[in-house]
Amino acid sequence: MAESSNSQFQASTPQAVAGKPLGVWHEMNDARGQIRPHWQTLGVKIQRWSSEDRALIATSAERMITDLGTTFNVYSDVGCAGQPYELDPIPLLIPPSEWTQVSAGLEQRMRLIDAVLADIYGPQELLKEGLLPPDLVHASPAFLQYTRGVLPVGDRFLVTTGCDLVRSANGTWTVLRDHTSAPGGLGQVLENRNVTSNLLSDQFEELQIARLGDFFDLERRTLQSLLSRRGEMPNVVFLTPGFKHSSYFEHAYKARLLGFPLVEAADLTVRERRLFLKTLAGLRRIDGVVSRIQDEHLDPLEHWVQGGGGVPGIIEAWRTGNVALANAPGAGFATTPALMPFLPGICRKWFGEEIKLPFVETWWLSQPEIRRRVLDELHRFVLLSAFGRDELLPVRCSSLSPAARKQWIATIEERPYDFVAQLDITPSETPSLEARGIRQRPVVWRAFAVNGPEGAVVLPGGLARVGKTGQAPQLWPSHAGFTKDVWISDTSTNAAAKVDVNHPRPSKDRHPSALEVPSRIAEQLYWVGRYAERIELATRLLRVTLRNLSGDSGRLQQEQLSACLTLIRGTRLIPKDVIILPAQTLRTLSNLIHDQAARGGIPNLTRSLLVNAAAARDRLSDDTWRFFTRLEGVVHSPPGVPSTSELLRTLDTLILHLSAFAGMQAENMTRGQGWRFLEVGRRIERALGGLKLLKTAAAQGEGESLLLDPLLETCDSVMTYRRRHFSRPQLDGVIDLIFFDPINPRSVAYQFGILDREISGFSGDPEFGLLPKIREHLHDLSQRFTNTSAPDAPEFEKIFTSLEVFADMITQHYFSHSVRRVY
Amino acid sequence: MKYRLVHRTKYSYDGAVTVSHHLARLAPRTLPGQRCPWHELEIHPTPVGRGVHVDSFGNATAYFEIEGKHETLEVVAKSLVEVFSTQHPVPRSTQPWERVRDACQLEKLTPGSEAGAFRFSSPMVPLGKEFADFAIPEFPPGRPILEAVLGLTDRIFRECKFDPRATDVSTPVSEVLKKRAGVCQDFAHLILACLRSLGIPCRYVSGYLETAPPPGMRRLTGADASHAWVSVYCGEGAGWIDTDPTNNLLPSERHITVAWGRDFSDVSPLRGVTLGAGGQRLAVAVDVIPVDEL
Repeated sequence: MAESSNSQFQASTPQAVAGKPLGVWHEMNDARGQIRPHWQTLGVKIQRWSSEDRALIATSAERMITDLGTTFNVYSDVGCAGQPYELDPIPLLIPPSEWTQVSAGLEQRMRLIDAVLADIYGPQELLKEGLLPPDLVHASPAFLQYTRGVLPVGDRFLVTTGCDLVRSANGTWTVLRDHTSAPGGLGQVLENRNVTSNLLSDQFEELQIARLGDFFDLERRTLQSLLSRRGEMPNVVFLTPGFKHSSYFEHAYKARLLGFPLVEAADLTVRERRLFLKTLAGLRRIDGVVSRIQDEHLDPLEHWVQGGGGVPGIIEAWRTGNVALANAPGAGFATTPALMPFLPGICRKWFGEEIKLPFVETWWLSQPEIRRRVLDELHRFVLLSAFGRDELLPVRCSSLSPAARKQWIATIEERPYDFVAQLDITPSETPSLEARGIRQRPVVWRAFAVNGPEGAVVLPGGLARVGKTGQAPQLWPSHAGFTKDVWISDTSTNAAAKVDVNHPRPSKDRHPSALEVPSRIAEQLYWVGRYAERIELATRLLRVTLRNLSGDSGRLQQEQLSACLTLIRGTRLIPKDVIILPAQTLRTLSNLIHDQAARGGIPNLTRSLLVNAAAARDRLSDDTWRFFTRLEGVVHSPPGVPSTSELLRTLDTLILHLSAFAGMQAENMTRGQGWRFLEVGRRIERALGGLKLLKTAAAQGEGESLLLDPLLETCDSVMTYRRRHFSRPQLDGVIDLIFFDPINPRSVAYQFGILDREISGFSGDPEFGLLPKIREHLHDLSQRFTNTSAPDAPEFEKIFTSLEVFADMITQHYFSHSVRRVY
Repeated sequence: MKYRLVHRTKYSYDGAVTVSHHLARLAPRTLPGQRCPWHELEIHPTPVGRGVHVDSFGNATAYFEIEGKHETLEVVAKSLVEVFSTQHPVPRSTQPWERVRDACQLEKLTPGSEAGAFRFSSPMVPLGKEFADFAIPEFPPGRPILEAVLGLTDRIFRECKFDPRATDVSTPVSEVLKKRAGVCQDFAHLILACLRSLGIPCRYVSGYLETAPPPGMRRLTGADASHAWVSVYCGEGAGWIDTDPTNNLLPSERHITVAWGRDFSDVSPLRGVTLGAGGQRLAVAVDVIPVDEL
């Protein structure tokens, strides 16, 4: 058998790129330093940039990215890795001739890998013919036992793939790594394209850069075609692990682009071996899923993992042909670099073709002869984990100490099948915009392909990842660092005839399910409404308190301040039993505005608001999202204790932002079920806030009280009161305005009026029968407004509690809170 | 021997479950030494969705869903099985263990060479030096494989204490090795980890044990529940040979094979995901009744 492995070693060598350093290939300049023809237009331009130009472009890029809402560093401390996403605005240019070659190569590669997957999950002829060592399949944890023998719905394992390419020293694009499971980065490609084509719009037009829209249209059509039930438009959803995932915003972006609802596992359920989406209107049959969940977390019933997220039964639904999953479960097997050296042989034998795209020299160390040769010259290689079992990998062998080297060799001899050696390659370098000027940086091009009805089609573009000079590309972290757009001049077609698909739109067809809201999204929007209102109340209350802290500190003002603090305690912003010494007041208030750790403080509430908004990201417009991202910046803590006037300025800005959000909600959001829940959340919270304030005021006794001024100000009703009464506020008058008044948008009665209107628009579920109870409960509560006698403190408390019960009923009825157990 | 099998599993949930999904591997396999002319799965409440498929190891796998509030789930598997006595090869005459090990490192898959698939780590069976070290005294160079396997079976039986309180379903094998205690599932995983760390293919077998002691013989452990043991590949000719480390014997007519896989996670008799309940209580009863007529 040694003969066979030997011949493989030799046969593969000419395919693989020899490791002799020829010097670094420069994308823009040739060996004599001349600008290459395809770089002329852009190269000349960027070389003329002054330092001001560069700074301007860098800031514009940064601002545009923030506005796209794809970064969200708040999550770095909620336990999710929302990496700030950085863009280098100088694109990587690929000449059309190279593109044509790479495109043909990737088309073949996708066809080939799909055939490999179909075989190893089916008849395993590859193993019988000796084209693929059996151990490569058997040792791989990514090879799923429970999907063996299943022919995927849609007759293909792969719908979308990614492929990392590096340009070797001789100028050829070569494969570094295949991504076959849930290839990430396509959303980012579009984000980059949006920014880069705007920043360099002249060059973009002049170079006639190929547009990306067709590719995404094809991807959408392919996904919709995998499973079609006669006479019905297929329902496809985009399944994300959730907002804590580092690529969540990319998922949201891509889902919106494809026009598929963004869902989490808990939104889906399997009934009678069919997949359904839980919406407010009931269960909606799903035909296809674009899955960004790793195989092992997809179905807790089939895959044994602790914790158990996922959708129980989804594999059975797929196995029985009732739902299409893209890419098919188990497709991740082909991601192992150990497969690469065997692909040329399979291609030759099965397709009668030579493999078109060369690959970076790669060896699976399980074969003794190959292992011996590789270990002899280990310094040439980067050691990779074949199946992800070794967390310390990859390592660059040339940088290993003799002791570490010895240890790795021992480990390799112990379980050689777990290791792959790949050539320590130096990628080509390309101009990169940096603070100190334009620098040459190594680059890897991630290309993408979609397995359409007429065969594989390659994206005319891609994601260029920029690395650190001197670091092997295998060691670059996959989710950090700079990326670039990839531009391919499209001189083949008439530019005038091209449709501008630079900003691809979601499907124009109005999909019936687009109007339906998953229950989870409704819940998240409900909490967005509640938190927005809770923040506003806290902000207004803190503002009036701070105003009493500044200026002279006469006796009256001291009393006013203490009245404000009573209100603050009444709303539980500060626990009742905490004593605030006069000298500490400013510090305490400042903490409530800026300290992340202050429970119930504004940063804390903002965090909750953002977490909920993030989880409903695909239901919020970009403008709305921009508001949320800016909110974070406003409460971000400044160094030291800010002055009273600084704090007041912050609170003013917050109020303006919150008003802007309320305005957007009122003017720009479609009145669907999602809006309705946002509105209901807002109204419940505003009514609860009013009741808390009124209860605190009523507890102080009748007549004039120092509490009433700040109370009116917190409720933004000072002007109205003055217009009506021309006197110092009295409790009766305040209760009249803040509790009973049906036309004051800040009054409790007004909130109940809106709640009544919106609840009548809720869709009901006769099985639970809670909806009639919800309506009845609200009706009973509203009766209080027909009795004109002012409530006292205990009665305000009673109404408050009853409204909380109402809020709980909504939660129980519409949002599932069941606990799941796996055994 | 002929048996009537009744495997009754009852879950009582604290509070109502609204939806549940299950996989069951409860149907005895048909093998050269075993026949299952009749099998039936009764499920209460009645499932809304149901299906049976054969998994990649050849085990019949039943899928079912229950919809609507329920506070108990009862699954009764009834089967008739006939087990024939097996001729075991003479341990001394089997191949040296290294030869079996090396023969599994194949360049290509040939008929009968699928054993190689069972040499690697699996979800519940890691490989490691600690396991190889534990096993190696029984595996001196050139020792016939079955002799060595029996030696290892005997050592696990003698050194490990049967103690249901020592472990639970998720106890890692390394812990079992340290504690030298556990139940049949743990001993099966332990011997698998040892053999695979030496490169020998072996698989996990789930099934039942007839426990009514013949006159004058001790009662075997594993009576009131499903049992687990392992099957070891002993090279061409000898093929797969079962060994039961919990009872220190080579299974014959009294072991009934239900399913096999890489470890427990591939063959758990009944698995489920429920939505809605808090805790749950489990009651399992297995009756293996020898019968004269089938």
